[in-house]
Amino acid sequence: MKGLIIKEFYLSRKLRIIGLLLYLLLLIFAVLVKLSILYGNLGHLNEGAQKGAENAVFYLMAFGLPFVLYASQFNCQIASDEKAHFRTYSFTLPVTEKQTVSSVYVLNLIMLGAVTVISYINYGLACLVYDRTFEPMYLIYILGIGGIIFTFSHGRYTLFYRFRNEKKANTFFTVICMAIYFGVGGGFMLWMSSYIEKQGYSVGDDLPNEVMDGFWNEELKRPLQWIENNGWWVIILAIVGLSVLFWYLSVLALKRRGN
Amino acid sequence: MENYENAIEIQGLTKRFDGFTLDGVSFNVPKGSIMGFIGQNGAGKSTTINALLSIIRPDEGELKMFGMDVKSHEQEIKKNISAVFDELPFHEQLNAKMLDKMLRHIFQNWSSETFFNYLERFQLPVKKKFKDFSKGMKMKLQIAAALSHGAKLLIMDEATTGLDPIVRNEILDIFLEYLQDEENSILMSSHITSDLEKIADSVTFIDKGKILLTGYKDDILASHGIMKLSKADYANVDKADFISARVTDLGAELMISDRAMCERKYSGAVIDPATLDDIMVYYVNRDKKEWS
Repeated sequence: MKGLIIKEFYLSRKLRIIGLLLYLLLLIFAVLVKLSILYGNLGHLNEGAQKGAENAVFYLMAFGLPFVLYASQFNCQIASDEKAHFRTYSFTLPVTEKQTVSSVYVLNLIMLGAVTVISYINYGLACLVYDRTFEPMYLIYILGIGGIIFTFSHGRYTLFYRFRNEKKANTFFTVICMAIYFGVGGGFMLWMSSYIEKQGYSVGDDLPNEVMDGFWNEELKRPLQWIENNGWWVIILAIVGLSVLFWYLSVLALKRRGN
Repeated sequence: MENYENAIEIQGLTKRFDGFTLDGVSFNVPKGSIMGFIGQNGAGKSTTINALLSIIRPDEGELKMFGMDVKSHEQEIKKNISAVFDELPFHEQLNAKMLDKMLRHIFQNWSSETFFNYLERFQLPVKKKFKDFSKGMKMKLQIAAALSHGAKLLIMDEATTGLDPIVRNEILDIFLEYLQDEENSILMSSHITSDLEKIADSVTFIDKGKILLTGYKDDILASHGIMKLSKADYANVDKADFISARVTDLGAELMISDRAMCERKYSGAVIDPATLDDIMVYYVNRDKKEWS
């Protein structure tokens, strides 16, 4: 399996380096914004606008940069294996389908760890530069973001293994994402309309602010609080469970021999 | 694993596709020998090899390598075989040094020393990316990789196709060296029958998914021949005595598969030796019986 991990690493080096460079560029941008607030043009803005700019850049550093890093560090070379005839060749090597799929997962898990560490340091720096309180729970948030990107990426790779065709897999993945997007969006709208109707209004009416506040406080806050209290474990379990499921489906897909 | 007679044993291999069936293919490759696997495009050579290498799953049949069932001993078998394809199966962004690092951790018996010795012998650059390699260089690279982990069986699918005669000769020499160890065997599919005539011990000829001939090359060449007859004499030949006949205005050339019998039965007829190429051409036209 180590040989396959080395192969994955060599082939994805360029993409990973591009991701790191993009991260560095955004980091420089964040530092430049702070310098501009202190000594440059942004310093001439009123306090509120300055705070707004600081907030935007702080959140970019805290959440945007890790997002870029995670998205660029998770890779799978199955499409390139197909193009290079390596997939056919790999069937003649003394490696099992489980090892082939696991090599991708292991390398991406290593990257998940590495990016989380970089992001944690990066967050510490952001707190220092923008004078914020260091929130230790950030590690959980960032791991959650990394985990979700990890799971989504591996869901996409499962489709690569299944279809053995990058275009087909990406199309299918886009359709699934759109279904999730519209499904969640539609569900949310139904939820909101049913709450509005319960309050004695119709969806098209001009709603008083209390109704929307009520929706936020009575309905939306409940699941968010549940997540905050003990739901993290459910999310972690869901991420791990889905990743294991995708791994298993990828192995099954790879075991299927074509004609 | 030492106690086996045949490196490869195929019995009744069947695979059905839409429009093509590999129909009950059976043959053996004796240990320590090189078998040429010949047939025209689409005859079923690659399908047979792919089934043997577990790239496709057969519908029926028994496949054995080193005396072990391919399905139940897949991993053990794969440690001892090497496959060489007509296309380079390595990513073009890689170079030989990276490939060595990768394969070193895949094959237990991988020898970096052997690999780099082959690269030196083939004058292949170590740090040049494969995308800059010529067709000949790519093939030599595949062969260097195939011979660097102590494989006991080399399976090649059209490996010498598209190479110039000099490179082909160089590669054939390497194969002969490899066969100096009597434990090693080769199955080589090729269109270029002249190569196989040079090095093969046995030959299997497949056409339209069926094995037409299999056996020792010398026996096949000795039993076959081209009988040259005038048109008048050709009219008196029993159709069961020849595979097919090439009939022109000048006369007829008949492929016979029992030379001794024909020499007796048609005494006086000129019978020339047949090459593997001739055998292929006449057998492919066997259904027409007469062609020009």
